[in-house]
Amino acid sequence: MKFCALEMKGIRHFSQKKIDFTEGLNIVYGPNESGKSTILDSLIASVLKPTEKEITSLIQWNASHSEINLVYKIDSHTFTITRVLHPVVKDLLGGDGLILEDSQEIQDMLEEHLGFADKTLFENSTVVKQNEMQILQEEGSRTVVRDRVRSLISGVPERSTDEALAFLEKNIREAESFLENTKEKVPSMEEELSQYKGIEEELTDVETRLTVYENDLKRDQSLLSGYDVLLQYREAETEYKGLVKIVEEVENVEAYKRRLPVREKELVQKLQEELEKISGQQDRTIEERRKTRLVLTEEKSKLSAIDDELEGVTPEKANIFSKVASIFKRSSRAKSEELAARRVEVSQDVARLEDLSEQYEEQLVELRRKFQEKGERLRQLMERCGEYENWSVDMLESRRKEYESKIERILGGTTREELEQNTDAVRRKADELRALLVKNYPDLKEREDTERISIEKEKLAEIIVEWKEKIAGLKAQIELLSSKASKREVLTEELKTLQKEREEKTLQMKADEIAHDVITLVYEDLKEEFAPELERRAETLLTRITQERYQDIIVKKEDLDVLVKVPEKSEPVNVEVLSQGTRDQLYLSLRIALSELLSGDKNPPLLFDEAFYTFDEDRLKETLEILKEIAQTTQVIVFTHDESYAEYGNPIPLKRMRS
Amino acid sequence: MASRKGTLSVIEAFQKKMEEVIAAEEDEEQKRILEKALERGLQALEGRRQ
Repeated sequence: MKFCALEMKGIRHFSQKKIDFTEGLNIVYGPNESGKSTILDSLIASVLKPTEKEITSLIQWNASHSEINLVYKIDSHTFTITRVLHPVVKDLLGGDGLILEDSQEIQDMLEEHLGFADKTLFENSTVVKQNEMQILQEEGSRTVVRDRVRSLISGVPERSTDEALAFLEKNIREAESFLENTKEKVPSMEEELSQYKGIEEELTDVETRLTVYENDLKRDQSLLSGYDVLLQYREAETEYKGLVKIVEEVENVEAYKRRLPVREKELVQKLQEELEKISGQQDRTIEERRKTRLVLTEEKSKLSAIDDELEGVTPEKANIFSKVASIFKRSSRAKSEELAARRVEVSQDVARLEDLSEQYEEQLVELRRKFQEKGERLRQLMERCGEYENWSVDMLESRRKEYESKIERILGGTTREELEQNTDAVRRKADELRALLVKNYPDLKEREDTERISIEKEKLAEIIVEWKEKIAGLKAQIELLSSKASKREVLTEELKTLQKEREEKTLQMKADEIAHDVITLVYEDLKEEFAPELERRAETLLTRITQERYQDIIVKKEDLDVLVKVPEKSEPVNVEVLSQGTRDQLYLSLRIALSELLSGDKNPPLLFDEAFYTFDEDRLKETLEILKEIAQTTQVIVFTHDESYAEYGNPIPLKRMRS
Repeated sequence: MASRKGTLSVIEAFQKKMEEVIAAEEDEEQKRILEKALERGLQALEGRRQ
């Protein structure tokens, strides 16, 4: 893989910047804040998807659009990766007749082209940074060098093979411990489980019995309810009959009361008095009539005498009268006139008396009619009074009161109306109970033996109590059995889980043991193979860089610890005894050697960021010469503030950017 | 991860070795253990990333 051109738009200080790279050694140089790190970061962000934090650090603060384009070559094929970072994040990979927009597909393709799936791994293998070199200034740099070498050959940036092996050992120990600790637990749980054997069958049996008992209870409770209804019905019937009897009794007394002729007696008295009065009137009228008749007779006699006197004179008397008349002519005429006047008067009296007599007759007829009428009524009343003929009104009244108080007693504080309402209500209740009985308990409807039913009911109630007790017992038993069954279920589940866990742990332990053994094996083989090769390649580089002052590097096979042979000492020494510059040169030699050893067939570019600032002039020149040679096969990009590097490769100058 | 032209890393060597052993194994149970060993070994080497 070779980088051809990098274009940045709205990236940190670069509003727009394009860098072209050659296939060999490229020297990107410029003072501080000229954008060297931005170019390096942009190159890494192009080939390995940047994180959100990295995107944020790359976007120019006031840019409306931020984008990185990298053109690169794989053999003769050219590709362009575009990373739009702002305002939206978008990736595009094109080239060789291919256009990818899906982020994951793009990343897969880039990994394929680059040979690394991981940024740190990529950086560890192909990027040497100033920071990394500074690590060696710290104490224990020997350990740092060794760990870096180990980490690099493990193939994983975060963890060395020793750490991986330790991790596996720890897992194996934990699994062993778990298996040991749970070894006794399984048979113990199995033993405990065996105690619950048959619990399900027992539970089913008890549940069946419970169902039977509950059905029996239901049946008996229904019968008991039937008895209740029947007894209530019979009771209502009895109550109704009792009430009917009371009503009848009341009616009876009332009938007696009604028969008491109190009013009749009063009427009799009144009629008797009236008859006596009429009789008196009649007597008086008869007397008056008699008297009137007598007077009339007298008056008639008078009239007759007057008439006689006026007309009944004999011829002799007439002669005499004629003679007398002549004598007493005047007196006779006067007498006649007097008699005539008197006759008129008497006649009038007679006429009046006759009218009066007729009136008396009429009065008597009317009085007789009244007497007859009232007499007839009295007779009827007397007939009705019958047996009470000799009873007085007071006696009858007293008896009436007796009857009334008797009715009151019978009614017992209620009114007749209330009694009737009550009777009707009891009748309705009895009818309803009867209907209920007919509908729900037809077998009981005709039974009248309430005493026997009461006895049966009592016995049934006792039986029901027994059923309930039995049911309660069965329920308690079920609860106990259920609890045991549930415990058994939990225990079974726990045992299953434990067995599964033990199986998994066993498998994991076996797998971990195999993995541990195989990793140890390949690690030993690799160290065996790797250490001399690393030694040889790094020695070549260090010998050249230090102009043959340091020619021997010892990389220990067992732990990849690095020692250096110094001319003044017979034994190899630790890297700490070297100067800072020499330590950096040794580390650089090892890094380049490691990169050569580990870099994939994709041959990604080697990137050096201010990696040589501790080198003296001679060693720097030699280092750059070496890089020039490496650049014949692998693209090398060096970032430096030192302009003097420029002559060794394709110079890419940068200027300090104005803020 | 792509194969390399240079020396294998431990993780690559381990994976290669395990794949060879798994391919050669005929017993299914043993094969299952070996596959698990490969998975566990890779997990151990890759640390907490998986």
